[in-house]
Amino acid sequence: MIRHIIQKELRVNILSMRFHAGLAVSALMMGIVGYVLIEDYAARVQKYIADVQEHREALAQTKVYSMVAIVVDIPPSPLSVFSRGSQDLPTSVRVSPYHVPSAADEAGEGATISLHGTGSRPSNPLLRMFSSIDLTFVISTILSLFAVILVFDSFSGELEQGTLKMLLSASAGRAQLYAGKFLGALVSLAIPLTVGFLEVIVLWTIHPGLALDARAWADAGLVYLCSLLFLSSFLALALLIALYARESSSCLMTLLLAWVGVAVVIPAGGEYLAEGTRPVSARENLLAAEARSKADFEKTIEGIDYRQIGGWNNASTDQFEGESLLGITAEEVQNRLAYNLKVFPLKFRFAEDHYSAVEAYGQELRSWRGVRENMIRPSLCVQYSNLVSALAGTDAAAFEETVARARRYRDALMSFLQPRVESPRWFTRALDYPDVQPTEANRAYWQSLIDHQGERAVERILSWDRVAPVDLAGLPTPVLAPPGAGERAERAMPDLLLLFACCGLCCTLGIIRVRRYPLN
Amino acid sequence: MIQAIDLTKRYEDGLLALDHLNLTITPGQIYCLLGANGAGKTTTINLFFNFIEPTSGTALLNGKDCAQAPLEAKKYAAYVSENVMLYGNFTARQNLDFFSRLAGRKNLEREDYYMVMRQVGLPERAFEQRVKTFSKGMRQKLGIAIAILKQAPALLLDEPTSGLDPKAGAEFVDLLTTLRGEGKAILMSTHDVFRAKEIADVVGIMKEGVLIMEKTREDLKYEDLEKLYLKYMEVS
Repeated sequence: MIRHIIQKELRVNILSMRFHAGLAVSALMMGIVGYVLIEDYAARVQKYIADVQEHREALAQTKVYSMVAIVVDIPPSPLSVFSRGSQDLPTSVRVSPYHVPSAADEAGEGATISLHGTGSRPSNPLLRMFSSIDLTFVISTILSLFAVILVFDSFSGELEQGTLKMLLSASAGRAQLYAGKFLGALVSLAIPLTVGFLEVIVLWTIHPGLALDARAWADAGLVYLCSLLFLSSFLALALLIALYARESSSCLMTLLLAWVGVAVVIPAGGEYLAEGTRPVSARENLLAAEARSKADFEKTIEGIDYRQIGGWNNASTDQFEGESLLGITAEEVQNRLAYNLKVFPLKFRFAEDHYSAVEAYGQELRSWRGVRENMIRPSLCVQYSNLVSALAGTDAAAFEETVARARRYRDALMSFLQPRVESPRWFTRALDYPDVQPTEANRAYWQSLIDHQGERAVERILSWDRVAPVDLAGLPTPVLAPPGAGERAERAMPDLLLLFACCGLCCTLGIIRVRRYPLN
Repeated sequence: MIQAIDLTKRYEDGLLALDHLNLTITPGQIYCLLGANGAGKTTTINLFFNFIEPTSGTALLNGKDCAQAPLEAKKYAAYVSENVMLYGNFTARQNLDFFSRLAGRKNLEREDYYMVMRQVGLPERAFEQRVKTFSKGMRQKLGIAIAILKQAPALLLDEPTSGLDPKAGAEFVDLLTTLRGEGKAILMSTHDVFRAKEIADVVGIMKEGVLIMEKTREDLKYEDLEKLYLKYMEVS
């Protein structure tokens, strides 16, 4: 019985002009957006490869241990083609002895990035919404609108047309009719969805710079199933609303209003309201704490007795970072080493203290993110978007996990570096390259060289370019594997359950309502 | 086959649409319900198909309670409305195919559909024509074809000849006569006194939800049904 109603619904839909129009629009949109995002993903993959190479070469050229800093590049997720996720998340995490990675300040400007991933996005909620157009967005807006247009007259249209009584007189129960209409509309909607996915898969497969591995296929399949679940939930909601209307025209208007509510008002309005609860004072507290701890640090450093013995050339020093000195005497090396043995542990501690303060702010941001997410979560579109970004590993939580791994990696890095603080190579290579010492004894030699070849001759001799990289054998390698299936499933679970619950609830209410749907 | 026992329907706005209706239609019998608009004729048919629920009383189809076991009861009856509206983008055969499958008739061949459409008098060219191009008379015939294919022993028709031209009306009546000959129990609501007298085995006149008169063909043999109808309508 239900099978026949499904077939009929499918046939009626396929023969209708609205179906063809919807199919054309969704295929066009998914094709265009898919093409743009695949190109974008390919470009990000290329950039990632280039960045990894560049950072690897930069690390290999490190001349002293105190300047060792590792930039961990985050590989772009193949599923970012479907969901770009949080737009302002960085593509790399920097790990150094003077910086403990924290998700709260990974933008490189202190605590300016927010954990919810909207830090650098427009403050206008509407602009913010449209700043992130991906396939999830197309499915959650275009196909949900298509769902509305497909089912708005499911019952009122048949009632007006007179076929509803014919259907119900033909031994069809109302619940069966509801189930048939629901599944028929879902199968009809699955057609543009499948066409769109096929477009993306084909574009992906034929792209010369990309390859689809088994995991990407499986993940794309999962996203497809989640999209079907989203459309099921949306259809169930639309059918429930349609069951309260007796005229197709008024039903269409009601459903369009509901669509605007679910697709636009709740996500944008929720974000707008959540702005009011942003922990501004916590950020101000952090900035004040940062200023205080910097002042304390500077005061402590000033209290350490240090008197420079010889001159420096080609020197790089930073109060909060590492230092590299060249062109100093052996006596100054020992003098500076004694000083650094007191200063660098303080720098490490400052980094740890700064991290603790930033993390405290991070906790506030996490609480706020929870509030914000719950304010926008009533929207089915948001649930779907969260679900796909969790599966794609493009959500803020995935980034936080990456940062946590980078933090653990820093511990290993510190185990490697800390014993080397006691070595002159921590901050200088002057002992390895005594010939570049600008001592008084050699001054005549330098001067003759300058006279013959000009100032740049000395610069070349004193340049770090002539200094061989420091030995980094034994340096631990960062491993930032993409989140595993278990992790992603765990993060996707709340929204998956919510979508199931919404679908189940709307279907149950729909079946209750259809039993009372007036036919007179 | 078709039976109403004290069947009563009061709508939510308080209107008493049907008041303790009692009627019985046996196989091979045509029962015509006459009455003005709002007399309760359509309400009666709606109750048999459980389109609406009775306030009290029982509607039975082949002994099955239409309110308690609607799916079971509906198996025994087919419905033809005043204005048969089918799926316009489907052809006549596709409509027949869908509704007969819905009624549990499977494995029917294309020729089976054609045969029924010939039986109800649809022209051959209309068989594979989209229904949205059909005239009302053709749609009514297709409605009857759907009812025939259901092979239900009871047929409930809600003013099926309303709006038909005389020729189409006459053909429709011929069809009903044939179906009666096949042993169908037929309940037909109508305004058409002449048509009722022509084919009815029993005529009931309804007024404001009450069956105020019921006479058999024998009873009406020497009476003018039109005068009788007008007389009952005038009585307050």
